[in-house]
Amino acid sequence: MTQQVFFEFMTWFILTYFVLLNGGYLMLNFLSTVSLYRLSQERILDSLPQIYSGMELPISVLVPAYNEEATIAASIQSMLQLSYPEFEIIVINDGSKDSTIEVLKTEFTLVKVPEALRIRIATKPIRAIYTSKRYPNLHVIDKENGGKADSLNAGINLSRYPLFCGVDADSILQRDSLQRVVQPFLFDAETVATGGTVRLANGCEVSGGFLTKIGVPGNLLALFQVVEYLRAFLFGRQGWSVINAMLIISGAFGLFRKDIVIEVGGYRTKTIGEDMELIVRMHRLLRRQGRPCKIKFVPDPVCWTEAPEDLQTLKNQRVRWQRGLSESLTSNLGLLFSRNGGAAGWVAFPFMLAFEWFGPVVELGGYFFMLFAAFFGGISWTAFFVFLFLAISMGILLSLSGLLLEEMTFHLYPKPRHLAWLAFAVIAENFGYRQLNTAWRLLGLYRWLTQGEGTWGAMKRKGSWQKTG
Amino acid sequence: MPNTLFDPYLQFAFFTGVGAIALALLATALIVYLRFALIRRTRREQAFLVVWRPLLVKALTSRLQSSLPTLDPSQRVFFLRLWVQLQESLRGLESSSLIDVALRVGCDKFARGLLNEGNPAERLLAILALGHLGDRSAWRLLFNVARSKDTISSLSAVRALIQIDATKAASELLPLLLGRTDWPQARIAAMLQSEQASFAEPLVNAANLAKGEHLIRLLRLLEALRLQPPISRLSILLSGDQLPDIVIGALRVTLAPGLLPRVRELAGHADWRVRVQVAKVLGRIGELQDVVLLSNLLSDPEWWVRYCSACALIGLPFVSRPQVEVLRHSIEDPYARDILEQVLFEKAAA
Repeated sequence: MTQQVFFEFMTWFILTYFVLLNGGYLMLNFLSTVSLYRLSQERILDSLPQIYSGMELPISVLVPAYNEEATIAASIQSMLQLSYPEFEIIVINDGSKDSTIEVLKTEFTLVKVPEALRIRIATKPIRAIYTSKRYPNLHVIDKENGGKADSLNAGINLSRYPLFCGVDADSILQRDSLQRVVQPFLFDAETVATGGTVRLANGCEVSGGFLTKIGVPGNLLALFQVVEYLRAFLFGRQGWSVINAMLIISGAFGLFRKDIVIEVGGYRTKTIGEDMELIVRMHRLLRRQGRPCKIKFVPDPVCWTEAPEDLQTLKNQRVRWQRGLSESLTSNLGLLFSRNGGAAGWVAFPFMLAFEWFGPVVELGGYFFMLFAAFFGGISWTAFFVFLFLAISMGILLSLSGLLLEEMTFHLYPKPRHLAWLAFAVIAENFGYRQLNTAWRLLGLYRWLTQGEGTWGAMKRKGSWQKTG
Repeated sequence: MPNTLFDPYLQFAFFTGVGAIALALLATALIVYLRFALIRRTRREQAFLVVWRPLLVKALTSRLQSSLPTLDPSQRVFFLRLWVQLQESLRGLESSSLIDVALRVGCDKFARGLLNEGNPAERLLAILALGHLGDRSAWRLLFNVARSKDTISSLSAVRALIQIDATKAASELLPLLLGRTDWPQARIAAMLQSEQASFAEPLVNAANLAKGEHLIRLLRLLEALRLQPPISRLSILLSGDQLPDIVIGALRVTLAPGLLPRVRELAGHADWRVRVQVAKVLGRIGELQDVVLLSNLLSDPEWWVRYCSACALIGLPFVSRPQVEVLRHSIEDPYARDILEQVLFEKAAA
């Protein structure tokens, strides 16, 4: 009898969980489809020449760099060519052990400046501040190692402009990326942060620091990640953005109102998910005070980055992401169902907590339950295969909708065979890749529970697309 | 646990899965359809461009005497897009022969038609085209769009109305220009900069009456257009009992030395943003006596005030670099010394 009740309970728990999870994703999908259709109609204006009035909001681009001697010069050269009326670039050398700072000094003719630095957010000691003699809008901070968050905080301290854009040193930016992500700030003064779509550069060609040819990767792991990114950005973030409940802006490219970030204390250094943690904290603190906290998503592809192509690097990345998610959510639990929490506190946060954070546990619990039920003869193999069929078909539908949104709006992948290859990945990722991801996320949860402060560690990048550049 | 396919819950799960697969197949079909539609549209547009691009590019510089090819109704949107792109590339210098070509193919008529019945993208193109054409008969239509809630189309309609008749637009649109907070000021300023003559007087006059948020927006526009409200009005706006944002806006457009006594009174304002602007005004129009005031502001608790004061001080035409060096060595406040050192370095490096 007790066993029967347990089976009944578990069955209904897993079913309810499944319905809520997929219902949530379908709702996000619907929201993003409607908003992307509207935006795609306005894209007709994008091809027209921009007219500047001199009243555009100037932007400080912050580029933390740690052991980037091989690529830093090319990255900064391309960033200097961004099309925006007024911006400065601040490279923060975070105590690199290689010759990053020497490369910067030589390539950009840096001179040491007697900067009377404002310390508005505490950081590791600054060794020196440099300015380029060739590019007056290029500044470099040389500081002791403190991590990415600490570097961004140092950049914020030095920055002169009201908006800052955090960019990864190895990111490839679209030439008009600043112009695009700044739009929400121009149209709505209550905007405090914006993020754009990050795409994967694997399989693409890069020249002079800019993307010159778009392709899809031949590597299967990278291909699965292309589909994942389409899903995560085009219907995940876009959908949350419609109801102002976006809880993450990618650290690879995000634009922020500097005064608000300083007010909430800057980037938290003792976390490995500093990008998400900042956004969740902004929601929590600003909403608690009843102040506007509009965080918007710009679906245009603004930034390209390289995805891991081997299992070990991918595993490390996913473990880190899950730890970052755990830290971001648990350190901002005050947002959950808070009085002024809005959609962020009442919808997105519980959704993240239940499905993104706790999801791997439920999934693993489901597998254990199946084993347990099989052992005690309580399993119906008919039911097992029906639910497996349902899970896979929903997975395919959701991934395919990401691809559909891409084709509806940007259709960046030029050749029909690219689409066919991506469609193949949409199906194939359900057989092994997703389960592997769940296992890594679970490992991330375990490490978050058992280990202390995390570090980013080394990210293995191939950069094969840069060879042509 | 349900255990047979006859179980209603299992049936529901099964058919939901089938539904998901059906939707996935539908999505696949839609992707294929969209791709083929894109390929077809691209081919049609290429065929259109082969014929029309050379003609319209030629029309940029000279009047086309020969008869024009027939414009198929299916090519109208392509025509509008190309034509608008070329017009926009002229940056405000309308090409009369380009307009002539458009009128000869009936662009004004079908643009008005699209404005009424097109999809949002076509409506946007139509609005832009009617503006470049200077189509007065579309005034009422465009005016209604300008009052609509949609930010992008209303803003585009305002631009079109300004292009059609700037003077009339100045008298009819000013309340909208100051009241619509969803219209970026940078965009409005960019539109007005090319029609400054028509907007100067109404904007300056509006400064006498505008209040609150409207006044703040108006002052920003005046600054962008390098205009000034009447001195008597500025003098009132520079009084300490105004909202800080209004005082800041007023300081940004202050160029008259007669207002310096008012400006100096604001050097101790509680809001550091006001003190920043005071330093900037003194840097623009300050007199010898303001050197002391600026020297005091070098010790302000706010970095930006110190920085702007240092820039102002060093930029004053009657203060030489050796004098600034002497000042730097005589100052006891290390913050003031550091900021002077930084700005001196920046000026030398510039």
